[in-house]
Amino acid sequence: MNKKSIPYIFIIPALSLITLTIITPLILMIRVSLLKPPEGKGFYIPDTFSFQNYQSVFDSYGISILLNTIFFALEVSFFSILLSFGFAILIKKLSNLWRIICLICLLLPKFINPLIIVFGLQRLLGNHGIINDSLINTHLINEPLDLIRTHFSALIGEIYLTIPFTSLFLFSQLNSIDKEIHNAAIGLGASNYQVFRKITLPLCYPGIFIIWQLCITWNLGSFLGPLFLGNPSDTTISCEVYHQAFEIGNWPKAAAWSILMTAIIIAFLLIPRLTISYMFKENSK
Amino acid sequence: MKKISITIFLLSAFAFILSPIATSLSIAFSPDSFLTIPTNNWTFKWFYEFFKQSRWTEALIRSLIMAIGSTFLSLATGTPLAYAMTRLNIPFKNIIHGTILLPLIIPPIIIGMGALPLFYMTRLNGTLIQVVVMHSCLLLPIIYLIIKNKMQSINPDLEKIAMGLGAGIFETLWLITLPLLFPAIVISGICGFAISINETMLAIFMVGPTNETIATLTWSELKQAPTPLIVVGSIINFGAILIGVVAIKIASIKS
Repeated sequence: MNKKSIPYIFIIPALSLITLTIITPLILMIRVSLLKPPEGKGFYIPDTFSFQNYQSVFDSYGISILLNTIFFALEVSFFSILLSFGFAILIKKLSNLWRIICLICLLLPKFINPLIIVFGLQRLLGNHGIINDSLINTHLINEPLDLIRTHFSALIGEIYLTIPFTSLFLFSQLNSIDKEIHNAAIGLGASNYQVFRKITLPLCYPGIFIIWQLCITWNLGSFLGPLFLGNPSDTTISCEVYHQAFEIGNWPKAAAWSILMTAIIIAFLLIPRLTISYMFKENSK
Repeated sequence: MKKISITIFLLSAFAFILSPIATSLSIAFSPDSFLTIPTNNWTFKWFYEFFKQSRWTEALIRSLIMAIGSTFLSLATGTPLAYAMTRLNIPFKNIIHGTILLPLIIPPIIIGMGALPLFYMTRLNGTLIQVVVMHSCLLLPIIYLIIKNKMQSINPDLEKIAMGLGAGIFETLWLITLPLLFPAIVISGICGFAISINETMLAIFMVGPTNETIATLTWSELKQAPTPLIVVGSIINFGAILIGVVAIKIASIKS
């Protein structure tokens, strides 16, 4: 064994694992998405070639799903970042013990099956759920409110699944800001609001940008919220992939959707990043 | 005054965060199967029921095997990778880094759908092996990031000294680097175990009808007629994670 081959021994297991489980399937999926959809039997017609699936993806129904997914992801990421930024600021003000308790509470949902959170939300918001029952028992309303199977409940569900990550990330972001900067601003006569607006927030922008990108990529694939809590018009691409692949058995169309979704996610990751680096280059000239 | 308002705000915020979990948990202790919130009759009936039904106990054992297996596989591949990426000279580092992080950004449902035909070709479909392999690919980026972070904080001079004193690269790794990395390996292992045991979306694609784990049983029950058993299953999974954490804590105190 010569010395030059040593680095490759370290990286080959991991790379082969990723190649086996991600890259080969993605390449296979491109081929499958160009097959003709099945007629009755089987998952696809082998040895055919057509762009039929991509055409059917971009019909009016497909475009509505596409826009729905992107809009939904933007909505979830906006609200979860807003909420978790509030959390992070509040937690930072607490004493050490309470801070640890709060962080554990935030992390707890991540150690429990997300399906259980969805199930709890179903019981909470359902027509005979806790909220409706207690409102009816106190005679505030007569008919149960439509809380579940709405856009609102799908949104809430996905926010619940995203918030632990975003708040922990923003908390560590806030913690990494040097306290002396804050004290210096106060010493120079700034009010608390001014410090927040002029010091804390601008220093957090890079962190907010990164977590926004992560949020977008996770929620472009949002699945559990829309499937179990949303109404049928809130279908996202993930639900459609599941529906096409498992319930209908139209493997080529599901593959076409998957390829499209991967492309969208990569675009959402790369375009803002490239724009920003381009803008900074312009500035520094 | 300010302190009280902050406390009230935080309490309501955490009531909001924890309310779905609290609702589910309380259902696990309710006496009847209508999934009502118990008012005064709390029972452990569903826990006995869980261990009586072989469907659930077998699923529990499979879940544990799956989670432990995928944690070990991803640790075995991720630790050397993190070492190589921080210390050794590898071409195309950026591209490798990006490739390793792919499972984090591609939705699990797409990963699952894409990998299914591959396992059909290798005749491994329906076995636990395919879940273990797929889950370890999902855990790999997380474990890699944690260990890489720790690796960057370890002083590289320590390794250079060891090598200067005549140790080979593998000897240095075994005697110097791995003991220093051990806390990060343990933490990332716990994270990996917790993620794998609770992961559903990949598992429903990968697990056949003969090899159901707790997560997939929860999924199929939730789609049709949920019983309190799904919550019990999740509580027991959580208990398994806790037992692991405590066991490691005790072991580390003793040593």
